[in-house]
Amino acid sequence: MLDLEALVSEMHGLAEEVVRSVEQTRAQRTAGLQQLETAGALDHLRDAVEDFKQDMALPALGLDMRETHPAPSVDDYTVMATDGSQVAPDYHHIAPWYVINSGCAVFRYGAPEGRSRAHLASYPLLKPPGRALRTADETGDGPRGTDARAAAVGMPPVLEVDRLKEELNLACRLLATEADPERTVLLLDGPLVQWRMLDTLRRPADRAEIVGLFQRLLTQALESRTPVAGFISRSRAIEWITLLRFTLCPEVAAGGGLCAQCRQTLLGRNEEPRPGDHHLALAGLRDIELAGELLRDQPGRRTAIVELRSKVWSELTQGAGTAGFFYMNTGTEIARVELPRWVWQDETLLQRLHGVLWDQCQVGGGYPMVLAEAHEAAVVRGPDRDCFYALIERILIERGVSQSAMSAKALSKRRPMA
Amino acid sequence: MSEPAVLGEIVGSDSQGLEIECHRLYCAPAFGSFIRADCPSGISQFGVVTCVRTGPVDGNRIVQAHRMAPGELEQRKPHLPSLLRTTFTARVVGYGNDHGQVAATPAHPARLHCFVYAAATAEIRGLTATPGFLRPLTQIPDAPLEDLLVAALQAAREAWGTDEKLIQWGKYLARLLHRDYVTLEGVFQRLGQPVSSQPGWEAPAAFFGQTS
Repeated sequence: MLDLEALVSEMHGLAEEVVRSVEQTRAQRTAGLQQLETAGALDHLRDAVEDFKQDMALPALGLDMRETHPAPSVDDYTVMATDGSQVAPDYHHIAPWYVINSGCAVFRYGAPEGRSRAHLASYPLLKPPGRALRTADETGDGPRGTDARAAAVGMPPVLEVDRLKEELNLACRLLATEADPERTVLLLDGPLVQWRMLDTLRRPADRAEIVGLFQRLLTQALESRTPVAGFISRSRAIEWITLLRFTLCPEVAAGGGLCAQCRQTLLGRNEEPRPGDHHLALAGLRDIELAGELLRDQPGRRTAIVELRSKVWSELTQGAGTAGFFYMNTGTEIARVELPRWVWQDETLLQRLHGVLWDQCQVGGGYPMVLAEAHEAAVVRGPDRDCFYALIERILIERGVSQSAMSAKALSKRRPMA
Repeated sequence: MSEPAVLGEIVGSDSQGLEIECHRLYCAPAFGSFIRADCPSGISQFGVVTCVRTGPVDGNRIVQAHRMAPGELEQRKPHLPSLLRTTFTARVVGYGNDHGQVAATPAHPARLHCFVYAAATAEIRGLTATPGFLRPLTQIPDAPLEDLLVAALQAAREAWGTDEKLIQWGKYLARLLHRDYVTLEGVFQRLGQPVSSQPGWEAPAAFFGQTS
């Protein structure tokens, strides 16, 4: 049980901090908008960023960062999404098997003949615990290793990798079997590419497999002219702001490249610039806060596309393309949408993506309905988890494995005593 | 003769009651009508529909108003039929086979996933030939008793095509409800009215491409 009374005074203290932060952010948002105007007028900005040779955002070729675009109307379309969930191995139970459950949703508006209007499905995969345990131990990828979120919930990173593989496999299958020509959009929950995971994976085999799957997915999407995009709710990204902080350097503003001091400090921790840093004014501001100001009271509207240069993406496309992002007012929040360059370079595909996203957000109450339903298809809730373990128990007991194989802790949790 | 339409299949059963999930959304039989569950034993079970409900398949889902015009909801949320289900409960009132029916509790509950059909006229006659089918109907805690009895008796009366059984059923009901005169009086009054003066059942709405 949680003693809420013990937390109340600390909550009041933290609330004061939040208020201070909101006031500071308000001033920074205005400053951010002004800087966006300045940055948009710098013709040499893209070249200056390229000269910096670091993974960061840069103005997309031929696009004005200051522009915003209303959502286009959309004709009949097909939209698909995937998501994943898991039952993590629990070593207190009779057998620590685990499950990856990938789910998908496909909706067709004005469905072509012979195609269903809606398709919801989940594909559970039972896995023995050996791999999760062994590889984590062997590689040192314990919960402290690669992924903070995994660590927070005690989920082995290997499980995250397995889950991502299944999600990508399912997305590839959807592209092959459910995509309708010239009317389909594929949405992924979260980033278009799991940049952070790819950067931190230690096992070369895992990395190669994930990279291979992403390459396959992107190739399939390109070949079938299906816009693919990652949709991120409440993103904490700062790439766009970092680009604006880049333009705060006086040498950049004067038409040159980044000064030596900025080269040292720009890509450090966003919240902790040193006093005197040129880019101090926008430190701590997030992309969605700037976009929120730019798209205020304009549901459906999106920002211009900003290109994102990264080594991971370059590896995925073998140097042939880049990724980018825009922010969109979904009606209830500012969402980040990540997309490959070939999507924004084709006006038809970009318009389709934007129109479909807005339509889905409208019907989904500010979040794409197709993503919400893919999540529902994939999610494993507490009662499902309990049934899963009950089934394992029954099957093993039928084969003579005693119930006492459960840990005393698990048994005590099952029957708390008074 | 065409095959009778399957109404649904059993998703819960005990000796007294059946819970049935309809194969088609919003296509439950009428409240108070007679249904038949075909069991692999060859002995069918008969029941009277006591409650119909439609709700989400997943208990975590919350059904909420979408404020969309009629027709728009079906267009905008094509997956809705797969998230919802119509179920109904039936009180078991008897069992039997082609050779006859009895108004009594079957020895074993119906198996799950047995298909359920509307009871045939001859089967309803067999079940209601004696008034014993009325006793279980008066023992359902949450059902609107008067409405249930009226609906079931109307269905039985239609199966017989005459009022010849009404006196026998009425006498039996008077003994069953001797402590509930108000309900008894309500049933008698409503059965006394000609059926044509009472509002008919609402036809199932066409939904998501269903035409009947």
